Formats: sequence, C-alpha cells, structure tokens
Amino acid sequence: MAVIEIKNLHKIYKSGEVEVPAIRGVDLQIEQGEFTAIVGPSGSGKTTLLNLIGGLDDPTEGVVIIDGTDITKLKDNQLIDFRLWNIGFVFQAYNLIPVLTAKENIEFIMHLQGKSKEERESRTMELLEKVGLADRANSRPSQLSGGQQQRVAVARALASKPKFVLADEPTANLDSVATSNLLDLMERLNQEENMTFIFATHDQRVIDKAHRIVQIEDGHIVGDQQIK
Amino acid sequence: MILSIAWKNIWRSKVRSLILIGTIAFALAGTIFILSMMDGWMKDRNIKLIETQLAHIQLHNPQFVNNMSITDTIADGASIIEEIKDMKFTQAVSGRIKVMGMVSSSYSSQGAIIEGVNSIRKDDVSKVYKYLSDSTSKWLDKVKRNNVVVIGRKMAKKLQLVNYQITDQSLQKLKDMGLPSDVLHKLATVKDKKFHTTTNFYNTLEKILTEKQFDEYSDLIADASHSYKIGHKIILRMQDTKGDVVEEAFRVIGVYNTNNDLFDGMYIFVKKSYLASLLGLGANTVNEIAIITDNQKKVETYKQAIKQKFPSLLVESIFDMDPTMRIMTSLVWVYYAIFEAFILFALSFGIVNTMLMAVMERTKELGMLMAIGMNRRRVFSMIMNESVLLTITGGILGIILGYLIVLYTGHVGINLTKYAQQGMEALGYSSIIYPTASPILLLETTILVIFTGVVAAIYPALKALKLKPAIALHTDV
Ligand SMILES: Nc1ncnc2c1ncn2[C@@H]1O[C@H](COP(=O)(O)OP(=O)(O)OP(=O)(O)O)[C@@H](O)[C@H]1O
Ligand SMILES: [Mg+2]
Repeated sequence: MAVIEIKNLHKIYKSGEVEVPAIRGVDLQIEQGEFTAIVGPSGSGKTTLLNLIGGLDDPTEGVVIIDGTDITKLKDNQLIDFRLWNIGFVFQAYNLIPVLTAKENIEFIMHLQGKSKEERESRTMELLEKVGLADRANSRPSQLSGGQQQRVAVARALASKPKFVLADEPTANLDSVATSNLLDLMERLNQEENMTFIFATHDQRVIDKAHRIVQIEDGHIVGDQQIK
Repeated sequence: MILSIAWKNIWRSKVRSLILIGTIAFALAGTIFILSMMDGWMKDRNIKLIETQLAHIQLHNPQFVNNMSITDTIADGASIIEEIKDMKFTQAVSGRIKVMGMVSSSYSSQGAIIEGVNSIRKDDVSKVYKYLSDSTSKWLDKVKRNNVVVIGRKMAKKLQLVNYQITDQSLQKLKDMGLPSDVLHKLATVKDKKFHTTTNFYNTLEKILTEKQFDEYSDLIADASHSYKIGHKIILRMQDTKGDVVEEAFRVIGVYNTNNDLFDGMYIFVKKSYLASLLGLGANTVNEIAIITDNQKKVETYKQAIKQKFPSLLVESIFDMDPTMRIMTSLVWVYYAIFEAFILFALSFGIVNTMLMAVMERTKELGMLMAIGMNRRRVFSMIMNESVLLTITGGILGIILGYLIVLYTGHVGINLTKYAQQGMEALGYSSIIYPTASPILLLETTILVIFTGVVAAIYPALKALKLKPAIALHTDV
C-alpha cells in the first residue's frame, strides 16, 4: 500500500472576486522509501501540492489518503495532531525556534509527543550524530550557518519518526557546498532509515539527486519518471 | 518546556520587555507606597483614637450620652469593672469620670472636658501619657499632689501657656526644615528674646518678616521655638452633683500632643479620686467604663456578651463610636482593590501592545510551530505564559521595591508638617506619616497582577490562534 495516495485533487484560491486554480486534478501515489522531487516553474503549484499533502491547507476537491487515513476529513485539531505524529517538515527558512539550542529544537517535537526524557535525549544525540552536528548541540540557530540550520531541521523532522518528510525548497537559501551536503544527508537517511522524502524544488542540483521526478505545470502533472 | 520557551521568548526583545517590566514595577511600587501611606496614616489615627479616647468598648449610663450630666453615672462602677476584668477577652478595663467644665489661665478661659483617670498609669486604659510633648512634662502618677492637671498642646496655646524663644537650637531646626536663609537671618535678630504670649510672638514675627513669609512660616517658627509654662496654675470650674459650682486651682504638670487639635484642645486629665471628691461622687462611682479587648476584630461579639451581662447600660463598640473605623477595618481591601485595578487597567494596555507585537513579529515562527504539530492549546498557553511571566516579573519587582520603600519610610516617617500640618491635625490626622505594609495589600497586589497578565494576554493569544500555518509561513513580516 502506498504511503500517500492522492485522488482527483483540486485547489482553487479565492482572492476576492478572482479565483486562482492552483491544483487542477492531480492523482499521485507515493510509496514507502521514495526520494521524490516535485519540480516545475514558479507558480506551477508545487508549494500548494505539498501543503495539501502535509495537511496545512484543505483541498477544494479530492482526497489525500495517508497510510489509510483520509486527512481531508480531519478537523483542525486532529490535523495538527496527525501532522505531529505522521509528517516531518523542512521549510525553506524559519524552521527552528530561535531561543532554543539545536538539541532543544530537536527535542521539542518529541516533547510535544510526550516522549520520555531518556527517549528524547538518546534520539536527539543519535540524530545530531547522523546530521554531523553533535559538536554543535548547544548552539542556537543564530550561531549556525544556513546549511547547519537546515541539517538541524532535517534532524527535527526525523525526530518524531514520521511516515515521510516534506521539504519545500530546502536548499533555496544555501550555497552549492551546503546544498550538496544537505542532499547527501537526506539521501543517506533515505537509504539507512528507509525514510520517504518528498521535496518541491526548481533547483537543478536537487533534481539531479532525485530518484523520482514528478513534473508539474499549471496545476497538472505533466511528467513522472522513475530514475533510480 | 513551554514555560521555559516562554521565558526565553520574553528576552528576545530585551529593551521592549524591560520597559514594560520597569513600567509595571514602578507603577506598582508607587501604588503600594501610596496605599501603605494611607494605611499607616489611618492606623496611626485609629491607634491614637483607641489609646487616648475610645478604647474598644465603652459603657455608659444611657442618659449620659445625651447631655454629659454628672448625675448620670454608673453607680456601682467598681463592681462592674471587677466583673468585666474576669471576662476572658478583657485585656484592660478602667473607669473614668468625665465632666464638662471651664478652664482659665491668667490670659483666657476655655471650655474643656475634664477627664478623671486612674492615677497609676498601668491600671488605666487611657494611654495619653505616651504622648507627653517633652521631657519637662510629667504624667499624673509622677506627682504626689492631688490638684494637678495634664493639658493638650492646643489647650496650652489657647490658654497662652506657651513661651517662645528663638534659640540656636530652634534656628538649626528651622534650617533643617528648609526655611530660606533670608528668614533665618531675620529671626536671628530676635534671638534669645523671651515672649510670654503667643500674640506677642506673632506680632513680632509679623514685624520682621514679609507678609508672604509670615503666612508661610509663622506656624513652623512658633512650633520650633516654643516651650510650655509647666508649673503654671490654672483654674478648673465645674458643677458638682448637687448643681453647685466647684472652683479649684490646678497646677499644669504636663502637656501632651496627639496631633489632633480637636482632642488636644478639649481634653484635660486629672486624678480620678480627686475629681470624684470635688464633684461629690462616691468612691465607686464612674460615668464611663472603657475596655480594651484581646482582638479588635471581635469587638462586636464581645460587645454583645457585655450587653447581656449589663442590660441596663449603654454598651458601644469602637465602630459605633467612630464609623470611619468600621469602614477602615471592613472595607479597606475594596479600597485597595479599586485603586490598584485602575493602575493595572492602565498597565494592561501596555501589556496587550507588547504581546501583540510579540505575536505579529513571530508570525512565521508560530506558523512553523503549528505546522510541525504544536496544537492550539499549547500555542495559546505559550503566549499566555509569556504575558503572565512578564507581568509577574514586573509585579514582583514592584512589590519588593514598594515594600522596601514602605519599610524605609515606615521607619523614618514622612514629615508633611511643612505642607499641611494645620489642616491635617485639625482633622485628627498626624502630619508625620509612617507607612505600614499591610499583608492584605501585598496579597491583593500579587493576585491582581497575575489576573491582569492573564486577561491582557487573551487578545494577543487569540490572534496567534487565528494564524493559518500555510499562510503564516509565507507571510512577510
Ligand atoms: N494564498 C494564496 N492565495 C491566492 N493565490 C495563491 C495563494 N498561494 C498560491 N497562490 C497561487 O497559486 C499558484 C500556485 O502557487 P504555488 O505557491 O503553489 O507555486 P510554486 O510552484 O510553489 O511556486 P514557487 O516556485 O514560486 O514557489 C500561483 O499562481 C499562486 O499565485
Ligand atoms: Mg513554492
């Protein structure tokens, strides 16, 4: 069974009188362990699609089924809880709580889940090792480089043991070294932990790494290739 | 963890938070100080009233209060006093004789209430001896003779029993009070000259000072350079029980000062046994019994107990005799609360403003937190915690600061003599105030501060809840 199953998805934004159709009938299946890039020109609907998959926005029509749960039927509060337990997020920026250290930022999400202190601490250290930032555990985000911050965000996304990680332009603010570091890291986590990654991007360096590329244009899927 | 994040969030805008904390702290310290000043002032008035006049409970012949006639006595006073002594709440009880009369010195005559009290001070409920004005004054028990009297400062002035002399000492005192050197120079011209009447002294002051200086400073100067004519004789005139006028010379052995013109200008104190014999009253007869109980708050209950025992007497509690005292004791917390509510209401605008800014500038971060799974209850509680912590920090600082100011001023006193001696003392309030920190006040302040922090945070916190993560994340701030 697919981790994510999307059927006949539509999203129309209404701003005043004007209706902007952002997603126009998308069907998509994502399997466990995929490393998939959603690519397309600016304004094509990548962010909108990711928001719908992540339950940050509700569709005008269609369903999003995650591991058997139709999240479009969930109420607001249930949806927040669902995200907490099932979905990891990495955004372009503003991923971390500025007043907390790297370690605390990763622990925070497990704290929300009500995990015990021992579990929180061991998982945090394990993840910090994995993203190569064990020595920066006690640094605040402002003391970390952009690339390091994104790696903490990836560790945070994985900390809650989600079903998949959504990343919207995670490399948009990074230079090429940091970009390739981050991509290597995500790919490694994808292989070692069998973690599903879905990212929206128009960054060629990211597209080159992807195992599957879903192309989107004007709210339609116009291409879908399995590379590896 | 939410609490610790909230605390850290407060310090993201250090200056803004410090300004708010400082505002709350100073506003509260000021409020506490002002209320403590009122409190100290009222307490001082109440204690004096209890010690010098009313005690906690008084018993009279029901007729007595109408016209203070000397025939309306409590005939078996001595035995009643013994019975009251045995009641378990009684701390002190004593009988008094009060009679209206005239007092005359060689200069003038005045109406007075002549009060006969126990000549041994520890036996008496009345503590006027605590207020003797200087070391030359004595209380009744220090003198063997019977025809001696202690009068109030105001009475001494009315009877012109005051000498005035500007000395180096009085000049220094006036200098300390901040009188201009011009005035001091002028006063030095009449240094060491003795004035035997108030009129003479004031006439001289009027001559050497400008009109404005005279208006402003003459009373202060008089106060600093006077001495009483202790040992002077005055004549007391009153009606005895048969209706005959009794006239007797008394020697002034002391002057007291309770800073209450009404009392100090009216009440004079003599030995009870001697007064009784002059009036032709029996040795066991009194016309007022005054009781101090173990608990001022329970006087109404005690009053009822005494009433049952002595149904033929008029029993009055301090609250019957002085209604202000009732308001002060039972409603004082309402008064505090209203005062503080106003201050905190004003402060709450500052809190709302600060918290709104804190929410607005963190739109993206709050969107992120909601996206990754922080639910509404937690977001709400985080904002609430920030506001309450901010308010409590200011509140605690304010309470500590206010308390320290109150402790200090309560120790050294706030001297308002220069500004308002006459007005205040005419009303029975001392012109030196010793603020007292009432526990109710401090407790109320704490509760109200927390309450304000919570209420003021509701609107900003609701604003935070309205954010939609998908939009908030892409909002430019
Ligand atoms: N909140 C909104 N209200 C109205 N229209 C919106 C809103 N969000 C997005 N749109 C519109 O929907 C369309 C798809 O936008 P979306 O942000 O998903 O594109 P994108 O592929 O992520 O673009 P980019 O590469 O620039 O990030 C665009 O035409 C955009 O203007
Ligand atoms: Mg986008």
